[in-house]
Amino acid sequence: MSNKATKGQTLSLTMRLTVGLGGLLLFGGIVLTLAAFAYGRVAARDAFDRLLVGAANTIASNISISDGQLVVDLPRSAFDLLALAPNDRIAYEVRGVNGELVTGYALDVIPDRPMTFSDMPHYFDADFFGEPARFVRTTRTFSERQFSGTVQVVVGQTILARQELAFDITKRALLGLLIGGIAVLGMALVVVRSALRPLEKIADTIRQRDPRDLTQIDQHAPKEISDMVSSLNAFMQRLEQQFDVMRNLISDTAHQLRTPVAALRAQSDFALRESDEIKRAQIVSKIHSRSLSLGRLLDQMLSRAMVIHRIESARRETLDLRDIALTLIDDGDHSLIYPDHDIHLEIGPEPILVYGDLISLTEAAKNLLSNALAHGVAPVTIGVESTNSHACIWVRDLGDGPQVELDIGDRFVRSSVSKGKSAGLGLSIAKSVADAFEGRLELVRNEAGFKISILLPLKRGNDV
Amino acid sequence: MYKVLIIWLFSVGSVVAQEATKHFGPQDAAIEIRLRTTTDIEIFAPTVVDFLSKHPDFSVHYEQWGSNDLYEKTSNECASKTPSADIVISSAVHQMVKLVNDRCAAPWNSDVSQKLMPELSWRNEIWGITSEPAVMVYNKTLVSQDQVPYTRFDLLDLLRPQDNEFAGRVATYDIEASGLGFLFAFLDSREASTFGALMEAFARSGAVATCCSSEIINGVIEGRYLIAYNVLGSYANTIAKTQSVLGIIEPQDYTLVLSRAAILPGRNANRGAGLFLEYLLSDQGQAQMSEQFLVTKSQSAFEQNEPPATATRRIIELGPALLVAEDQATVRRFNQRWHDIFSTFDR
Amino acid sequence: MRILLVEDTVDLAEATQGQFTQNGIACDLAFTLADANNFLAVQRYDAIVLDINLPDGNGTDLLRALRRDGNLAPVLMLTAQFSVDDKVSAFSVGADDYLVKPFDYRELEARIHAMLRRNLSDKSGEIILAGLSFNPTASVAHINGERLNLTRREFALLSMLVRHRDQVFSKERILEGLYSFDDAIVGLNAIELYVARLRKKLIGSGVGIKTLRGLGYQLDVE
Repeated sequence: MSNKATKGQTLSLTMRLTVGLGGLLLFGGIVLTLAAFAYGRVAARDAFDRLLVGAANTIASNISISDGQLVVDLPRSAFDLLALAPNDRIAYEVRGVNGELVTGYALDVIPDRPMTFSDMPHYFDADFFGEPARFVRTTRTFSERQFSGTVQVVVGQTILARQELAFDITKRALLGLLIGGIAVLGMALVVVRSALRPLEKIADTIRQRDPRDLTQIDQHAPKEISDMVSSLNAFMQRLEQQFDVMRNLISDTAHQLRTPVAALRAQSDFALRESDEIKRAQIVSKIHSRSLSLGRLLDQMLSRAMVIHRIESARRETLDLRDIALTLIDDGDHSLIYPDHDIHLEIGPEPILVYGDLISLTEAAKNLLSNALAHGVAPVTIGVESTNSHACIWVRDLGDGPQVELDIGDRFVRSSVSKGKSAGLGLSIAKSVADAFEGRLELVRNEAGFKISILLPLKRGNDV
Repeated sequence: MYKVLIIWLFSVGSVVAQEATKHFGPQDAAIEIRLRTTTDIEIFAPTVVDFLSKHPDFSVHYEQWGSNDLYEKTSNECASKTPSADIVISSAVHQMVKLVNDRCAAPWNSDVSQKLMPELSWRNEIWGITSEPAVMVYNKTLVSQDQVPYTRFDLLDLLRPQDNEFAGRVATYDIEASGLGFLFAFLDSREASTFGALMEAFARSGAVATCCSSEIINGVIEGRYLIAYNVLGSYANTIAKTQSVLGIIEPQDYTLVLSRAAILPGRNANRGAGLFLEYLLSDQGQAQMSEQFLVTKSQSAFEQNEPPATATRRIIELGPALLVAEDQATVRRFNQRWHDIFSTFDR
Repeated sequence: MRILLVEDTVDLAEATQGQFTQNGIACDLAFTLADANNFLAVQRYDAIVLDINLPDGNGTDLLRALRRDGNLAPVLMLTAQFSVDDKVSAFSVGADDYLVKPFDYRELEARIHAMLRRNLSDKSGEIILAGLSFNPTASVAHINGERLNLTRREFALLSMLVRHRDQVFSKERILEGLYSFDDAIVGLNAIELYVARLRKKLIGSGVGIKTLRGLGYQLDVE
């Protein structure tokens, strides 16, 4: 009965949640990192592009015309502006109307783009002495008597500061994410703990209980846990019923065994003191028959115990009731004990299928047959038949049947024992088995005699 | 030592690019550091010797160059990717900044270089290793005490009268021949409005523009010039040790302070050169150089916590802003202006 | 005839021994496995009656040791246990028969005689069909050397089919054969069930029962 529950623990809920959330956060973290890095790059680019164009405009605005010549007075402020990116190298050049270099690096990186008269600065990426750099080109248009045309100013700078800023922005975003992630994880753990607290409470309650205390557990708990508690309660109820059955069995057994043993003892005491050989032989004969019936009683009690056990534990299968009937006939036990009884078998050509335990059902039918043989009037017939919904195995004799009503249940078991007979016990077994397989006992008394049937739900299907 | 100085004195101004060379340390040293610098061997030699005493497995091949030639040579070698020097130290710091901007210098990271004040390094590729003021020197015997100019205004006042005794006897660098001279003049022009007036006064009074610190200082000692403007303090102080006739003034309106720039040419630094650099920046190297007045005690580049001796000192920052002083158009225009002024009054 | 009774319940043992003696059967009584081994070391027995639960061990151990030593004396196991499984396991460890306590002395003696008869029976009367060996005198059948657990009527049915394996038996004839001297009235429908049960038990023997529609059944040997 005590199926040992496996103690193997699976991953704790807390752990599952941590792993799940951690994975989610990690995934989100990677996505956000990429997003933050992309944003950081754009932000850094925009910020430093402004410096770049500021420097270019400063240089452009310092270009003047003197005697028809371009004069570039390179302002220090332009370089101070660019020096805000402290470690980046600076490229610049000023080209005249015909594209001739006026001053600065002869940068060969400027994309060949037609000059426009728009003032929109044009940004582009190129290398500066083998290092990636960002450039801007601005123009300034002169239209004076001595000089007219468009002068272009290109200013560039390597991108160390941009990268640093981009990384810095990313780092800050990640730091925020990390703190947020830890906070979410922490809160999740708190939530799980509080959600699991009712479970811990129930575990404590059960642990502190007396082992025999099978009363219901307080079901005040969240819905999910309440379901578990109610099935736990149902389980304990079944356990309690089992206990009841066991208690009854033990007290019945005590009663049923003590009585015949007491009779045996009394008879044997009597025999010891009896000096008359003939009377003593009579007493010994009584002792012998009493011991025979005690043996049968014992068989039945063990059979009952076994049936109760099997009802709980045995695997159920599809059975042909005709097989059970034939087994009873074939066993031949009855022919030894009641050699003068006729037994008839009434079965049809078709299988009568039920769902149950072969041994329990065989024991039940055997007890009914034994009762009929012991207390009924021959001939005894055992038969199997089916109605629309029920399969039925029955035993019939020509007598009146027992004097008790079935619905008295187990109680009548006791009274029958004292008479040295065991019809009640047999009925009790049959009733238990019928109940266990969703069936019932049916008694019919009429002019044809007494017929007792075990009715079980009919299982339709193919032949076994 | 003095003999060498004399030889060197007469060799200055020659067109030979490489002015002097000397080998320090064992000939068979494991590592030879090729040093090119505008600094005179005599002034820098004790520092090199001190360094080699710490690193006996090194030797230093010392080449002394004029600043413009040194820049040209290093720049060409950079373009052809065949650097033949391990460390270049120049007083024409704007040229060194340009080299860094042209990606001709290798980075070097060390604790010592990190401690340097931020104005004196850029990109971990250029470091200011000295602090030398641009001073005025005068001949103590020929210039009376009350005439000694303490500011540029004083100097202007001296030159203002027609046919004053200083006419033709004030000297300064020829900015076309000396990179350092150009830099000082250029920075003066940006620093203060007095520069225009000063230039004009120089021109009007027939000031002499000549090439080198030593020639100018010698002229003052010999009495050919009474006053010299924008002379490097380290040279003046060194010579003043033996020539008591030489008077030195840090202008009180403002004093430019030059920090000689060191770079490690090429894409990858030579380890020996890096160690030499670290030595120069270390307390010990600084102390050694201060004995040759390369580092003036009043304001060591390393004593950042100490306030400057005078608030008038202006450190020349080693940074991209110096690129302006190397811009062709700007240089052309500045030189033109210089020419124009001096030719206007040329006798 | 001499038998060894190994049984630790003294009064049951003595009563049984007394009845054996009254019926002219010599019976030695051993209360423990050790006693039993002592007897077996010095005496040959025609049969052994062996209780399963003994104070110094399990009767099945003794049985296994006997068979290992080549002692082929028939053994009847006594068991107080109440489970079908025990019956099967009694055969599987090499017992020739078993009896559940409480038992009738007459039943015990009848079983012993039956065992002895089987043991002494003439092997020449054995019929061998594929994996099935059928011994009519000893009333046992084996499949591939393993004893078949057949009920009386199953054995009777097998016996009919084996002895007249060239004949076709109608249901009526089988019914007659099985129940002619019996009091039970079972009807023709029971025959199908018997045949089905026997078929199931013969699986693996190479012998089957074929149905000839409308005619009846016949033994079918591969």
